[in-house]
Amino acid sequence: MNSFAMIKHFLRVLMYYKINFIFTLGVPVGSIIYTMRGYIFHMSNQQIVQTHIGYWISYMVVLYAIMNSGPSLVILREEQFLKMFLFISGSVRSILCAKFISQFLLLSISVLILDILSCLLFGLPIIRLFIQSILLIILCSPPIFSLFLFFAALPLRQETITPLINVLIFCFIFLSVSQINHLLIFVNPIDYTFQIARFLFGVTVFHAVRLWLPITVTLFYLLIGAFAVKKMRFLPIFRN
Amino acid sequence: MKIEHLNFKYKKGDRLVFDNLSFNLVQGKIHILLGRNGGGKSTLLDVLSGLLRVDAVILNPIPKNEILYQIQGVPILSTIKGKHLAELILCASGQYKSRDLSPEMCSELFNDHREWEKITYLWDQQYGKMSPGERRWLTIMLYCMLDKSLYLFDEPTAGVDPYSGMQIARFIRRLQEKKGKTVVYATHKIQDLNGFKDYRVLVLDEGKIVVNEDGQHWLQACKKEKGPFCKRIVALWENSSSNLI
Repeated sequence: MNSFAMIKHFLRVLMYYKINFIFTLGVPVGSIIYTMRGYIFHMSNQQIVQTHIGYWISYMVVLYAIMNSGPSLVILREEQFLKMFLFISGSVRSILCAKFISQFLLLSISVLILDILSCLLFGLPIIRLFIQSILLIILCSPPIFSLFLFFAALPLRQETITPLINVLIFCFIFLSVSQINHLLIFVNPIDYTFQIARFLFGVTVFHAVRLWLPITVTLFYLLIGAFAVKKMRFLPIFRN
Repeated sequence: MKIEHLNFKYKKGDRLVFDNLSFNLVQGKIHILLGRNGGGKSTLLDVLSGLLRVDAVILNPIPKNEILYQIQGVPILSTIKGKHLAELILCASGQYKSRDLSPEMCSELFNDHREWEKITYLWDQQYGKMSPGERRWLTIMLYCMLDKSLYLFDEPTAGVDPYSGMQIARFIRRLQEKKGKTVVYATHKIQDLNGFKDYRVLVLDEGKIVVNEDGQHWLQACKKEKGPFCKRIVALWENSSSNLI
């Protein structure tokens, strides 16, 4: 599998930028400890704690996807890495596959650390929580990664993309906290992941009628990804 | 591969980069593409690679998975070692397996023990601690181990000392001599021709290929051209005291 060497490389790159790893894991851990401090070493109200953990795992899924999907490809495109490896590997699919798997592996490790910490602090059942979390990222990470691929199809420069994703993350958090409308899950992937998290963690029950919304959103996100891959640019903007 | 009537200018630029340019690549030959800085050499490589869509007639285009395109100055993580770069380039191509990688596998490319010492040293050296010339030497050596139909090299000897430049030329020459591959080698350094025996020279000037001749006849063709770039090439070549391979 020719993606394996690239997976290793992208993992090295992700581990090199340790501040991102701390940011994606540190913010959820800090927030959970602060807001749930009343429940530390108490066994009661597991559902409240689990809802909170579900929200922050949703945040991590979205943050990892936004940092390693389209915006990261824009940076690789502008550095001409994308162009170089398009020809070495012979296809863009192996680069995308390597990008997805590398972020998925690191996301899984981060979630595992978060789960272990949560179980130690709040006395939650580790195996159940870990299975629920892994199911959540398996279900939500591919469509959200696919959604953010649309950045790679846009004529955005490297200097534009970083502030843009910072603003977007804050918008997503704001929208998910304000919970204005259910239909917001079309535009807010944190909301989308959180709704699935609530279902997996047993907080809400999806009736057959309400199931259409996450399924439609999943298909919508995957469709955007497929369209973005077709329209993806390989030549850096600065040369055009 | 043949390109006919290529006209091109960038969307935001007024300058015509290619003006009814036509030429063909001869299979199994090294094509030295000479042109001034900003003259359109890299853009022409983008056209040949199929990355840049143009309205020219392109006959027998080569699919992307059969092309290897060396690009100038791609930043790579500074902490990875030479062996990691080898793994990245060779294994990402799908032509090598990680467990088979070692400095010994490059030995067929080398002529003397100094090259062997160099690869052994660079194999465990961090990429960030290599000089720009060493990085380029290692990267191009790895590229030359890949099996493709068309190789596009964009200024492969930029920032490289003359000795290493000759080694790079030998790696590239080997692609043609031993494997019969087609190579396009873009440069603005006329002395790079010294590294090759059997080649064609393409001179890109004012958006056109003004000279397209083999190694024996390119100089005469260049002398007939009136453009200042061709005149300068001729002067430089004739003044060069070491134009023997």
